[in-house]
Amino acid sequence: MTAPARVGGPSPRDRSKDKKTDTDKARRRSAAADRAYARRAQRAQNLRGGSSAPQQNARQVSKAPFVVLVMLVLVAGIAGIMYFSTQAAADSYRLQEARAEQEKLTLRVEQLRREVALLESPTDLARRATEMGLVEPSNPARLRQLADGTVEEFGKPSAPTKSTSPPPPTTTTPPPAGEQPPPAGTTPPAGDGAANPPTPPAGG
Amino acid sequence: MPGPQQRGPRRPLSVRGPAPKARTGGNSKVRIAVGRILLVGALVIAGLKLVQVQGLQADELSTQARLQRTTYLNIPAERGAILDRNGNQLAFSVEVRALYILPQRARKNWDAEREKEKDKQKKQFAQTYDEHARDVAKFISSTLGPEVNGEKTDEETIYEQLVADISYEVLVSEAEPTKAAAIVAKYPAEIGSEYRAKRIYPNGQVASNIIGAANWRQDEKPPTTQGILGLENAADNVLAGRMGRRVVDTMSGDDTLVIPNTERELTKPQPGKSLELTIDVDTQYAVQRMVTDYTKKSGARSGSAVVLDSRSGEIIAMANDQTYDPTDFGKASDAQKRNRAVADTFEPGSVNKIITAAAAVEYGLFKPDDVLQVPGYLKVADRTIRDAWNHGTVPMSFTGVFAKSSNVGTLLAAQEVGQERYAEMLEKFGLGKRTQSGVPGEESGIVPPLNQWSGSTFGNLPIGQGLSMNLLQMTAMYQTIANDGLRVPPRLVRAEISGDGSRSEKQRPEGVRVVSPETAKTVRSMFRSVTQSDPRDANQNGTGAKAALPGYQVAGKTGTAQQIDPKCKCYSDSQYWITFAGILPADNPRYVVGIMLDAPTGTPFSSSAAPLFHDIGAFLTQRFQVPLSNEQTPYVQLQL
Repeated sequence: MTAPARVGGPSPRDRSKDKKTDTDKARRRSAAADRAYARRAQRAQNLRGGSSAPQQNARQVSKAPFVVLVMLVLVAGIAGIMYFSTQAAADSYRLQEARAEQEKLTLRVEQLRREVALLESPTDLARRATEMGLVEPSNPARLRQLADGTVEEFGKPSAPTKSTSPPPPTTTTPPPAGEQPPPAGTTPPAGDGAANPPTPPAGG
Repeated sequence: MPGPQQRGPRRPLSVRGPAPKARTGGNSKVRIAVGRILLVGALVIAGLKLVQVQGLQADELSTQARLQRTTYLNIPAERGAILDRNGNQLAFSVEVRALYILPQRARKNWDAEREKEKDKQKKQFAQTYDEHARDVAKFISSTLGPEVNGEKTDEETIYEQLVADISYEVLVSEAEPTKAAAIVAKYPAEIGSEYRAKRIYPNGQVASNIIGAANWRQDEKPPTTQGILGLENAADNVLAGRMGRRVVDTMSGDDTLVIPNTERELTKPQPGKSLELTIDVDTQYAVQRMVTDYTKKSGARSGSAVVLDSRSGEIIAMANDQTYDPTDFGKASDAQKRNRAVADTFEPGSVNKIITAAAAVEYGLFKPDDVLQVPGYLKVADRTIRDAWNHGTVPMSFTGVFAKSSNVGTLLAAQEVGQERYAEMLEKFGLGKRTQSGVPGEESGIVPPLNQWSGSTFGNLPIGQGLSMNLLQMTAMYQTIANDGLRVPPRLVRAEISGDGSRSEKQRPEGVRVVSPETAKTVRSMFRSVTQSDPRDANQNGTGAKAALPGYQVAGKTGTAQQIDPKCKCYSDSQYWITFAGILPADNPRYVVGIMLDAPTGTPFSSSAAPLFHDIGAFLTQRFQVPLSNEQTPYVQLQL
């Protein structure tokens, strides 16, 4: 420590006091300086290559491959991440496409289901059957084969002379003219009923 | 180094250098204090606000933020289908799209774009909006065809809508999704599409009185398919399912602008359950057609028929002469929408005599071949009851009383049974109460309770007057006899099928023991004679000979009940309910058929419903390949 702590000249009035302070300071400064010198020596020794120097040299030799290894791992990692994220993106596109395809197919299935349901409805079947000229047998006879091989007939089959009535209730299509009975509500002429007189009410 | 004179006496010892020159002691201290207070104050305020925002108001604020940011979208749940007993679809839903346009906005946008692109000579915006609209209309029309479900989609109609001076217009309400997607992809700025579901009824008017109708309700919140009539309405909760919910973050102020990748599903939609009915659609179709024909032929106001499976009580068919198209139910009249087979009650007439027969046999009062001396008339209180044909006192077998439908003979038997036992039997047969079949709109009918009977009541009930029932109840009565005396309440819904295909069978209703199996068998045998015909002796003819089905034993009963004349409030002599109920085949019952015609007049078919039973029976035996009866109905002496 070169800088004086207190450069102000001692006051002539207070000499005895000053002297005392001077001796005090001299003693303290030397202690601090001792420590400072010790530290400096320590630093100098460190710079010159103290006790730890030889070990450091040995480590420097093995550092390069380690760094390369770390770099390789990093590069591999980044490459991996890039690969997988590209893959994921590609997959998500494929997924999206597949979803769109599925949506389309679902709609198609639905449409087909609807068409099948409409085509297999009895109303539609009856209409197409009528168009093809098919008629329903009104009164079939039934056969039974007996044990001795003869066939027994029940009922007399009546030919479906009158065309079976059109599929019901399509209110827009008028019933075909011809063999149809008179429409509901109209009272037939008296002679009409005479051919087949109504039986009396059953009772009640 | 500055001299010692310039330093204040109290300056601390410093080795770092000169002190700043312009320090005026006390002032700097104040400044530091003020600065410190200000900074601490600001920090405290910020801290308090932090506590307020993060702690006290946290919920409220985050809710507000969410409201501003998130939009809830409904994911529609598919409505369940209605199937017949073989899985044929009676009603189901499909997805469709409504195509809409905002004409005013489209025009404004187009004009703005055109203005902007004018100098760039872009070809795309060279046309005026009207010319552009022509192109759009052409494309839509060529994609959809000239008509979609009755909505015109020809070029001219679409064009008119595109150029109209209105803010919103639905171009097509039921476009196929694929076609709609193609249109929206081509003109995303002009055309928008919206999810809708369409209810399809492939069988049209067949069974529509039972199934009812549902359609898309845009005015519902949220819009959905809703059952309006019949089963669609009654079972709406089961069929509809539950809507799912999806949350997306959207731009502030524009709910349609979704921030990508913010979609999240809160709840999955739960598709509705499908209902499997007991109806067989082919039988339903055939019976409906026959009923419609016969009602027309007989000149009746209306007609209905019910076919039950005799063992399970399942309703195989339930037809009325009037039905409607469920896709256009707005045009249907009330009469068409009504399911008369359950909603109309009537006096059954002689069909009700089976209760007297069952009671008399059950209590061992009569055997089928017992002979009764039946007088020409019988006085019950103030009323005189006669038979449908005039006769003096004639000996009739107990079977003959019912086969020839003698009112007097029936009342003689009923008097032996007694009022209490008879009233009890009425209740056991399930009359006066709804059948709980699951058919919507059922009426219970009226049976006067025993304590309200007047003197003549017991002269009316046994012959089927003075009480009312619906056709299903009447048919169920015969189901009891067909099922060896065990009444199984009829039912319409057999199972519920959930969205994943799992099926839950509805519990079978418990049977009610009405009469013993022996009694039921005896009554069945007796009622076979109703279809007996003897070409040599008209006295041995049953009343329902025309119901006979060669090869099969048929047990049944005709009925004719006088209707009440609204003018005189008395029984009419010209208007009747014509009924028939029959069991097929009588020796091994499979089906029970009930028929009711309301006031048929003026034609040879007006007096009896037996021929209709024959037709329905002939169809049933073919449809379900019912084996022939082992023996034919034996001939029985009806009148001695």
